[in-house]
Amino acid sequence: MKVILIGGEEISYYLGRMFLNRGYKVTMVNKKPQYCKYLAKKLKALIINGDGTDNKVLEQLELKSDDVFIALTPRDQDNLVACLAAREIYKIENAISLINDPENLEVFEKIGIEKTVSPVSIMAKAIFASSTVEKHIKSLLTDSSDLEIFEIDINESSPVSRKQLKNIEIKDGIIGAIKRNNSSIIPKGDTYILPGDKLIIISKKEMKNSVYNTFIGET
Amino acid sequence: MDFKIPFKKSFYYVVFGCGRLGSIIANELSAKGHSVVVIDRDEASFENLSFDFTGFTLIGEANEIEQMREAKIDKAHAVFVLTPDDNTNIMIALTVKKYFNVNNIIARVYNPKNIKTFAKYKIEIVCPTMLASNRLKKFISKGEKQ
Repeated sequence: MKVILIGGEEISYYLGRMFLNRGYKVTMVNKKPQYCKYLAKKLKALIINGDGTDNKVLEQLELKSDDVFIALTPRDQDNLVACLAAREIYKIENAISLINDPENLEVFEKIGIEKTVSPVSIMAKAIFASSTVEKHIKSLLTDSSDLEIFEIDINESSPVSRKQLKNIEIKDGIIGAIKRNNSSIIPKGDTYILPGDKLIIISKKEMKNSVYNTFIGET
Repeated sequence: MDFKIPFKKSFYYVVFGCGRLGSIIANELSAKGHSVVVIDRDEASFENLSFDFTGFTLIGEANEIEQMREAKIDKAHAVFVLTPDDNTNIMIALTVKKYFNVNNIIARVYNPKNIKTFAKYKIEIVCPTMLASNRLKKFISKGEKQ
């Protein structure tokens, strides 16, 4: 088994270095002669100068069906064509494509390239998670294996704001306490949740996301 | 070739690429009274369109899905994929077919090696390289007979 990296600059260099350090055989294909020279100096990989979407170039790589084929160019259409060739002609199951435009995730899937990575959507998820959700939630207990206790800030836009507890459906979780104006309330069914409240929620770990959605809304 | 594209008055067509070939096709469709949208990333390319062209133009990367949505590609009766880049054309054609479920597609392909890819997905193609080489081969064999 070998690892084939098609195109890309920094990203192919770092990935190539990582795979080499882990003991894999690595072949790298790059269009730019200058960058190939640089790669050849820095890495003990087989470097081939050429267009990795061109069959003539792919033919030189001695591709086997158990190879890992990764397309990393900055153009989604080139990644698509390279992966299609790897899949259709060389029967490589592990043909993985970098996706530059996150909207193309679904397109690639529909065309039949299911193994994809979109750095933009990964970053976006991380950013949204830290800014919208984490801002409102403080985890109080994290060392328990399947239990989660956390504090959620309720504001006006929360779906549960100004609702009575009995009208809120929480799967696998309970509101243990409400912190309001520096005092604590142990809530009952007819207690209203108000903006500014801090809710102490106890839930099963796997229900965390549905609890987020119930109290903060879709993120 | 059993492939037929419906051409009727008031039908809607999308043309990707407004270079020499794309502009000729867009002008022709427009002259015949069809609704046409032409997409090209280079605004200057629209100068290739005739004065009588009545369709719409969109500036943008042709293979962007956002762009295709704006062109209402799902409503198109047929799509012409005529950018000068084979890989771009492959991606556009497959996106139109698999994502937007539009089946009437003709794509230009320069490299004869790419014809197979289009054939596999049942996408009609025009290959200028093959057209020219077939014509030239005829000249050669004609000359040999004399």
